Amino acid sequence: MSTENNTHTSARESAAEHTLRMRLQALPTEAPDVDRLPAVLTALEATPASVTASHVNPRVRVWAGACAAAASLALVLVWKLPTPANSETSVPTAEVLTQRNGSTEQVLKQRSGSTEQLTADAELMALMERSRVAEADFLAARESTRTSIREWENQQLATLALHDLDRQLERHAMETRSSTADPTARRLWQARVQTLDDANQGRLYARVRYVD
Amino acid sequence: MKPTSATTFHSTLDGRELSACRDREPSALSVVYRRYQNAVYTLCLRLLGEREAALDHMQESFIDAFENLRTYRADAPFGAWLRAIVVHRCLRTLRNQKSLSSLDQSEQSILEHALAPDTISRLEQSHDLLAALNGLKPKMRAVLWLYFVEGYSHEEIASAFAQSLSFSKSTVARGALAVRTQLEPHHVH
Repeated sequence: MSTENNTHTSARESAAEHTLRMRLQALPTEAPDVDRLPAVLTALEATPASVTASHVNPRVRVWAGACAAAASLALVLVWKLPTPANSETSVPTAEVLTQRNGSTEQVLKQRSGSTEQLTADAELMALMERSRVAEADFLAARESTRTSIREWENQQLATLALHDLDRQLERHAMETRSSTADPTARRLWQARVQTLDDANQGRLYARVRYVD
Repeated sequence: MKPTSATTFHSTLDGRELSACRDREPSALSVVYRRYQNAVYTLCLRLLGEREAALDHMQESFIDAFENLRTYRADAPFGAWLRAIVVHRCLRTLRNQKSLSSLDQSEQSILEHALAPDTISRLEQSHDLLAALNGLKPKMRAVLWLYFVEGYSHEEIASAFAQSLSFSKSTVARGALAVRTQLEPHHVH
């Protein structure tokens, strides 16, 4: 009796599932009410065909572009900025030398005159003070530029690392139709999370520069 | 019985189309986009249940596919390759939406959600299968669709959701029961 009931129940379930499957498969295909083709083409234009930046978060794409622009600006700044006078590796620019030497000669010439001794000393002191201030400004600007470059490099490293991990994940998913089911996928996902965390903390730069 | 997808991912690209798309020729990309956009959109809509999210995922899926055409080896139909990308992207979103623990709820709580008064009221008016589908929790709806329509096996679903085999089987069973119950309010089980 019990077996007979189970058989009936199973047959009924099977028929019901079959009906459900048929009805689901008969559902019509729907069309989007917004054309996203222009957005797709625009996004592709932003990425060269030779670069397969797959599965990068759109925000990362935007951030990478901004970082590239910031890096260009930083490099221009480094190129244009004067070099400090007292730096061991620096060479004063011609303009600075002319200004400085010219002024010093004037001061020395003035110092030779007994009546203008005090004025010349004061001018010399003022000149040295201006030089010190300019030097401090330069050092601050250089540090700021280095920070910008370091941040950009951090983001650049993050982007490259994420590209690589995402491509591995995608390839893995294509091959196995899974993404988190096995140790390889789990390891990749954990590496991705860690990379994002490192990037947010600015640790990628430090890892490459000081650990590796 | 081999399920036949309600969406049309069965076609592929010929060599010239593939080459042009790899070279990012806008006209070729547009043709391919137009050919598959309804299929991609429908799949996204069925898996995610929201039009806006479906549009976003359709867009990102096409970008993913076009950017990765170099990795497409053409040993399977392009449609199947594209569908894998779409499913992968949608499931990633579903996984991130909420912990999978929501699927570990008792059958009763799932049915209670599916049979909420407003859902029943809506269904009494339309008796619409789509409404029944959309009454399910997102991950259950996705599992149901992948199993019944896209032809995924229990093993593949379990793998995609990083869950056990019994997770897929029980979710399909509970989902089917919930849909049938909604479509047939006096369904006796």
